Amino acid sequence: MITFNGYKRPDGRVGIRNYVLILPASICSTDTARMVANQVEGAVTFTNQLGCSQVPSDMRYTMDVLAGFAANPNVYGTIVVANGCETCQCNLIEDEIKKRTNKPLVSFIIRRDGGTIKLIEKAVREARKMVMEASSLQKEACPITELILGTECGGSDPTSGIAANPVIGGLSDLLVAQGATSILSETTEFVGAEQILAARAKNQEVHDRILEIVARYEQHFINNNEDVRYGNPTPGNIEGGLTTLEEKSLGCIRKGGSTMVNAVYDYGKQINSADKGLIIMDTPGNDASSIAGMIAGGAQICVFSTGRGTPLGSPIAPVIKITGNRETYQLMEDNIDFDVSPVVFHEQTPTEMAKSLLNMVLECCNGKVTKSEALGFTESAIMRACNFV
Amino acid sequence: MMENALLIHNKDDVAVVTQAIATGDKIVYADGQIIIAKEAIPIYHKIALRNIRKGEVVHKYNNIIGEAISDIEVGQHVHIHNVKSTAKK
Repeated sequence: MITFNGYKRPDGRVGIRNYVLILPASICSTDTARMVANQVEGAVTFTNQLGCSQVPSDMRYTMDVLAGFAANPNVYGTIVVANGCETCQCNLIEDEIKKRTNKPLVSFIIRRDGGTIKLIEKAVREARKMVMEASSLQKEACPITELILGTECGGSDPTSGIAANPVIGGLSDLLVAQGATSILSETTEFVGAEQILAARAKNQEVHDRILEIVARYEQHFINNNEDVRYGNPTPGNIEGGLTTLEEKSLGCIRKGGSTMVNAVYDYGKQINSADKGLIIMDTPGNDASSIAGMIAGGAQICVFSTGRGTPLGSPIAPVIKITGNRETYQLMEDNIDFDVSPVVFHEQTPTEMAKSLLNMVLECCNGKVTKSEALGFTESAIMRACNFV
Repeated sequence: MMENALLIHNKDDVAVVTQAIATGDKIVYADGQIIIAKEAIPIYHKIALRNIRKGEVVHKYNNIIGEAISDIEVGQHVHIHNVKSTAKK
C-alpha cells in the first residue's frame, strides 16, 4: 500500500498542508481578511468577489465553496471574517462549516467587533494562536486511499488532448487502482463527449446524472440566449489549434483515464469518504472556479494540464502544472512543474510519464511545494448561477 | 524520415502536425504513411488525411469533432475556416 505523510484531522480526513484559513464571508470583508492573513505566517486567504447580493441558487454555490474550503483537510482551522449585513451571513457560514467538519472555528464580524481595525487586532491574535496550535501537529503515514485528486485542464491546446491529459488519465487510473479518489471536472468540456463518459457509468443512475449535468449546463446558456459553444474554445485554444468544443471535450475527458465513473457530485459538494475511484463533479470549464469546486469537495491536491500555459494556483491546495507543449514549458518554466512533451514525440509513453507524475504527487503530498505555491498564487473564483441582484 | 504528424486513431480524418509545416512538406505519420502538405500548417494544428466534402463530419479521437463547412482536400489545414461545431440537435 502506498502511503503519504499527512495531518490527521478530528473529522477523520487527512490533509497535506496545515493552513489557518482566514475566510472572507463576502466582498465587503475580503480586504480585511487579507490584512489579517498578511499579518500571520501560516494563514491563507483569497479574494471573494461574492457573498452578497445573491439569489438563493447563486448563493448556494458560494456557501458550498466557503464552507468547503474551511472543511478541506489541508486547513487546520478557520477564522471567518464577515462584514455583518451580507447575504452569506456569518452564522449561516458557521452552520455550513459545522455540517462538514468539527475543526477549530472562530468568527469575527466587522460591524459587531467595532470596525476593521479593532477586528484586525482580534482576528490576528486568534490566527496567531491557531497557527501555533497547528504547528505542533506531526505528520503521520496515511494510506493513499485518503487522497482525493482534482484534475483540471486550462489554456488547452492539441497537446493537452494527446499528451498531458492522457498522462493525467494514467495518474488517475494508478490512484484509482490503489483505492484513492480522482475527480473529473469541467462539465462544459463534456459537451460532445458526454455519451463516452455516460457509457462508463457504474449504473443507470450515474449514467443519467452525467447526461443531466451536461444538458443542464447547455440549457443554462440557452436560457440566457447564449450558446455554450460561443467563447469555447477560447481564442487561445483556437490559436493553439483546437477547432470546436467537441474536439476540446474529447481531449479534456482523457484526464478521467479509463476507469468506471462511480458518482456525480454537484458543484462544491463535500465528497463522501466512502466514494472512492473516479467521480465527476459538475464544474465550469473556467479553471479557478472549477478547482475551487473540487477543493471545496475535499481534494487535497490538483493536477492541471495547460498547453498554452497558466500560472494559476490555489490558497488551499497545491496545484501541479503539467504541459505537453515543449515551447510552453520553455517559455513558462517558472510556472510549470512537469514537461510531458516526450509523449508527443514518442520518446515516452503516457503510462511511463503517469508513473513519474504519481511520484511527483506523492512528493508534493509529503511537503514539497509546487511552483505556484512557491510563487504564492491563490487565484480563486466561484461558479455563478446568475447576475447580482 | 521522422514522423511529423500524430494520428490518434486509425479511423481519424485528420492528424496533428508536431512541427510547423510549409507548403509542399512531406508529412509522415502512422508508421511511414506519407502525404504532401498543400499549405502551411502551424505546429499542433490538424491536417486532412483524406478529401472531406462540405457537410461531412470530421473525425479525431475516433469521434466527431465537427462538420466541414467547405470541401477540404487531403493535405489542407483543417481548422475554424473549414470546420464548425456540430450544433446540438
